[in-house]
Amino acid sequence: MLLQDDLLSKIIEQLIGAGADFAEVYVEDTRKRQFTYLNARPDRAVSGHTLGAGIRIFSGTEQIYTYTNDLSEKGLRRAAENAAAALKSRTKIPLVPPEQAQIFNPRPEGLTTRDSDFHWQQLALVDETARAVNSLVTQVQADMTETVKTVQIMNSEGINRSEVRNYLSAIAFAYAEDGGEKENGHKRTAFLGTSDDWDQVDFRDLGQGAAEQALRILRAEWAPAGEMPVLIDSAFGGVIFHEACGHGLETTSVAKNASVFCGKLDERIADECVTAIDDGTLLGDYGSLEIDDEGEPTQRTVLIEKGILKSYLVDKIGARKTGYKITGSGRRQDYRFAPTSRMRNTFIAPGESTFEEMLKDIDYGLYAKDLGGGSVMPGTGSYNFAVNEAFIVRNGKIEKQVKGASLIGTGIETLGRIKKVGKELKLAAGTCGSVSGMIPVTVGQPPILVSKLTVGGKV
Amino acid sequence: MTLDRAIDLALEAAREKGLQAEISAVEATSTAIGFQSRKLDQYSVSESRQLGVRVVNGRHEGVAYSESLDPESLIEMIEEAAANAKMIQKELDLELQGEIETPKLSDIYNPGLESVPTDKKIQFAEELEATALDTDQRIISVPYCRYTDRRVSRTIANTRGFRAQYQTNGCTTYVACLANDNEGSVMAWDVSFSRDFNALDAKKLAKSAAEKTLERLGARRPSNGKYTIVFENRVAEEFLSLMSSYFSGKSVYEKTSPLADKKGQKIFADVLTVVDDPFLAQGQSSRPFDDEGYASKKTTLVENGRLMGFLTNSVYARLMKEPHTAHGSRSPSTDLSVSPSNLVVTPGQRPLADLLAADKNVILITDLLGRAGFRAASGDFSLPVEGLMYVDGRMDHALKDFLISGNILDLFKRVEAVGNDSLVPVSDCVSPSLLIRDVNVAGKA
Repeated sequence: MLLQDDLLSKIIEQLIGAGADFAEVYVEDTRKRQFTYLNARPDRAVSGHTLGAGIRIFSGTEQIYTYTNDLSEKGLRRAAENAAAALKSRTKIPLVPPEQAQIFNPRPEGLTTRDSDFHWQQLALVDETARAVNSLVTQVQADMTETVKTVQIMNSEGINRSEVRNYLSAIAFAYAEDGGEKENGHKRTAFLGTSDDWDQVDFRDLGQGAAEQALRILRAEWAPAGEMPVLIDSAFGGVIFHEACGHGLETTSVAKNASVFCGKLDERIADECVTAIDDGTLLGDYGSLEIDDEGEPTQRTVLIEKGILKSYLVDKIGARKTGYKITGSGRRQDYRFAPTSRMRNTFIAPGESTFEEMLKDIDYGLYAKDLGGGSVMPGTGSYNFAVNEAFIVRNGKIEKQVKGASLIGTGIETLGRIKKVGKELKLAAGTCGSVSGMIPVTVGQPPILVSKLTVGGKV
Repeated sequence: MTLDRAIDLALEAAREKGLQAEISAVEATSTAIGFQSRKLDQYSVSESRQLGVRVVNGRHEGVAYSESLDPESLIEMIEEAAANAKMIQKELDLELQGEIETPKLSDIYNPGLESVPTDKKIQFAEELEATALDTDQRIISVPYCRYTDRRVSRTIANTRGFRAQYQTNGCTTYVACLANDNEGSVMAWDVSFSRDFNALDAKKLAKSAAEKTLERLGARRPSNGKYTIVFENRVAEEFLSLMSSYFSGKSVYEKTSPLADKKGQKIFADVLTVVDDPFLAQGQSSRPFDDEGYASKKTTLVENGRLMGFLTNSVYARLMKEPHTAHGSRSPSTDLSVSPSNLVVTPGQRPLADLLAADKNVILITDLLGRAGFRAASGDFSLPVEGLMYVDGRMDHALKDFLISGNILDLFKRVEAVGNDSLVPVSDCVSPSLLIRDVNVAGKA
């Protein structure tokens, strides 16, 4: 627990007394350590302490938010006054006394139990492994980050909860150069854990994976341009669902009538082979939580069941605006952001098809093996994402590797074109950016076959 | 505790431990107002402070930061930075800025903005949304309608006695409209920035966003092929920003920039001159001194297509034996790096209409929809865009669901003409519209 219950109770009382019909205080204390290896030696060591509080009140569907990093009673009261001053209508609601404090996932240990030498040894291993792959590898950067984030949330509905969240993230970048041409590759792992859990990471594999990818892309030719069937591989391939559909199911967009999925609950929006889930309860995955950033227990939310839209992702203000039930999806980067409805671990569930069957269905198309980031405009449903590594498929067989292909489409159209879903589900960690900042998530899917997408290569 | 007092304490703690230290401190206040369906949807007023230290000792450098300003936290921060410095060894001895004279720049802070009443800001946002909604009934919603203002105070201080502060402020307003017809939904937006609240015009901005949106109705997909294109000024700015790290001496030295070894060579078309200008009155990244405390300088990076040099801080200037351009950059939470201030493409003579009549068919690229398809190491890109098709210099129809691809350095080598239509910047890149031929377009077969 970061601040005394009594102090937070007083602030909530002040806000409700000023006429808010909902009040919440979110307190955060985050400690972070970053180690960066570059030019074959330790390049950067940064330690950080983030500390602040966000105060939020509702008046109907109007949301007022303020934050401060002055956590004294005076500082919090001033922030509360700033928030209350913006209230236009004033109501009198009964105040629910805070529940007995609930603390989730308390960890006695501090930020790291490992000596710094351990981190530099692992990062040196990444560097050496990457450079040993080929003499064309000219530069390697490797980072390890440990984060311990403690959040405390109290609101006027009685919630009084804290959670300690431990995150580990490691990433390797390798640059390869040949005849004036330059490319890079990367490999990342990120999950919930303390420094003891670094043992789960194969650092050699990170270095090797980054270097091999850089070399493969360096040697690849440009992708073709135009519409074609695309077989999208598992793990980070799931970014297609995240962009094409996931963001459009957040009440942040749905409540504004700014999503192509508005009003489509219980309607068919995809082929029967598509079941999609957003699950915050998975053990140790990067997007998992015990409680969301509004203090609500996280959930497993079935979004699409056999092609039928079953649920949106609903936060507290989204529930007020739309009438849908909260799904424990209120998330934020830190205390500087008011929470909004966001994804957690989002994936397409396993289907019946084998990889070979899907490949055989393609006369001429693309096999997208590793995807990059993407984005979407929920209002129009237009989404895009980058493909790091892809191959031409001809007559059901994988041919040469190509590069430079981004894929675009629109959400509902693409969902309707997912014709086959493979058997083996894999997840991959990522960072998602939206109105409430950058948050840890995972995406995932088994391999899927999309009958037509626009590939942005060269004519 | 005030931030000034916290800076004093942190410097004292560093001196007591015999450390050379540089403090970077930022204090920010901001207001954000959003309207939705003619109701106040979001109101946020906030303040934050962050203090970071960079400890240097010969070749050693370590960084730590804290948002807790109590004396124990500050001492802990100094100790962590000192411990980090023991682990990091750079290629040469590091030096802190020793000049006591502090440069000034007066145009980047307008005290008048601080006294604008909240009610006026709320009214502004309300008018912004209402004007957009009332422009035409085909506009079904205004998904984004925001007014924000921000004041940032930045202090650099070190144990050699340098201490200087500057403030910037400004207000930004943004509106996006969604329109619908039988062929589907389209969205477009407009944005403006000023340091003077009274210079913002809600009606004009809302009408511009609404008209842009309506112009997109009936958008169709272009056929695959090579086209003559014009990057509209804001899009040209985004493409310039994709390349901004290429000019960093750090990236060049570390061989991650494709411009390494290209100094003195023609990298862009003759018509392009690019200057880093930290003194631009309306610039988003204008500043009297850099994050090490060195007086800002205007630096020509590309002159008539030729690469004249790179941006450096005190470290990379010495490592690369290049002029010190005072582009040291670090926030309280990061280590010392190199970043541009405002990257400016020098405007040409030709109006946009002239560029759009350069060929029978010209695509005006109006929006870049995502940046993930840019590969910085090589400069190769495959990027989703939207635009308008001009035939014989006249707008014929809107275009959507397509990508353009190529290599960004090759693209800037082939710029044929530079427009005269630069706008007040909303990012740290400023460019007029640019005309380029034979650009790969992927749409329908």
